[in-house]
Amino acid sequence: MILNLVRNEALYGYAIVRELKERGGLVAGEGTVYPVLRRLEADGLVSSAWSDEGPAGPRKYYRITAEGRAFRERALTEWETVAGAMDELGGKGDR
Amino acid sequence: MTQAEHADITRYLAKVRRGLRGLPPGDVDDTIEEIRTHLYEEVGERGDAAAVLRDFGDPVEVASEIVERRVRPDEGRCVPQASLGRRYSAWATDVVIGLGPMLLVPTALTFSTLAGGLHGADAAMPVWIQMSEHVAHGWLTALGYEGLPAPAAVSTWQWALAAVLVGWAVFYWMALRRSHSASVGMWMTGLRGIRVNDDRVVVRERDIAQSPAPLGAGRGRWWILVAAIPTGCLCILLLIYYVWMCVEPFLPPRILG
Repeated sequence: MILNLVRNEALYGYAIVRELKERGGLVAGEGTVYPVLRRLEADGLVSSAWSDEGPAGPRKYYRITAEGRAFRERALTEWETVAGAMDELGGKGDR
Repeated sequence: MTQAEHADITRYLAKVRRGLRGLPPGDVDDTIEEIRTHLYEEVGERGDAAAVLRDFGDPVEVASEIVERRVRPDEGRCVPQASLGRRYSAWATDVVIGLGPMLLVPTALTFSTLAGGLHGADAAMPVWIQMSEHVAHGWLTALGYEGLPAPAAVSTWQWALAAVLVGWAVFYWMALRRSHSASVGMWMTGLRGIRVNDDRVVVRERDIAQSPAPLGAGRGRWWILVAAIPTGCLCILLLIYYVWMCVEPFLPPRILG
């Protein structure tokens, strides 16, 4: 979900948290987003850069990398396969 | 924002920082700065620091999750602990650095005086044995033994040397090594102490995900072990020898000649 958010534009941590909240994608505390961001960055799926434009201090902006895009595509394909299989099973169950 | 709210956020960040010990220092600074910006921005919008901190989550849990996610395996698998051999090597290296000077320096001085006759026969005896003979002499005299041979005098420079060596050992074990997530031994053997769910776990440095990976993180430091293992064995042998030689003067037949 985070990769989805940063695929078109660079976003900073708090903006990502806000977006996730609005879309109902934040099921635990806000602090849980940062461990995921750090891991995505360490795995090279997102890149980051500091910017001084924030009102409360420097913001760290995240942007998806080529590796991140490829990973996202793979994850979406897998998800569609699983979702398709579930639909089929559901359909058979209905009949 | 009030002064009290500012203090609350500072305390919160300090707790997160404590929990992140063991991760690369630059990384920790980055994470703390990012969380600080988030908290201040959100407090600026919502105006209630207590609610913001509550929604952000327990600082210990936040730090623990950051650490856990940085250690390489995917979700669901255990954090890979460093092998027992590697952890023992780190400890042995610390023993060599912390206690090695206490054991090796007096021995080296003894050998040099014996070889060169630099300070006479009395100085050839390691300082710990000379000191224990003094203590033993006082102890046995107090117990009523008479006619004990007087032990050789301990010179001022030997007292000073003993103080420096003991001082180094205490300083290393109590200050330098304690409360640090990476002692010199751990650093030399490529290990890091991290905290996951209130447990201290020792992991290999290269198992902590970093991008870009630091220079030399995956490189084995076998040459350290080549030096540390024989030196460590020598230290253990010297320790046994010195302990025996320091106990021996307390046995009356030895002191009575």
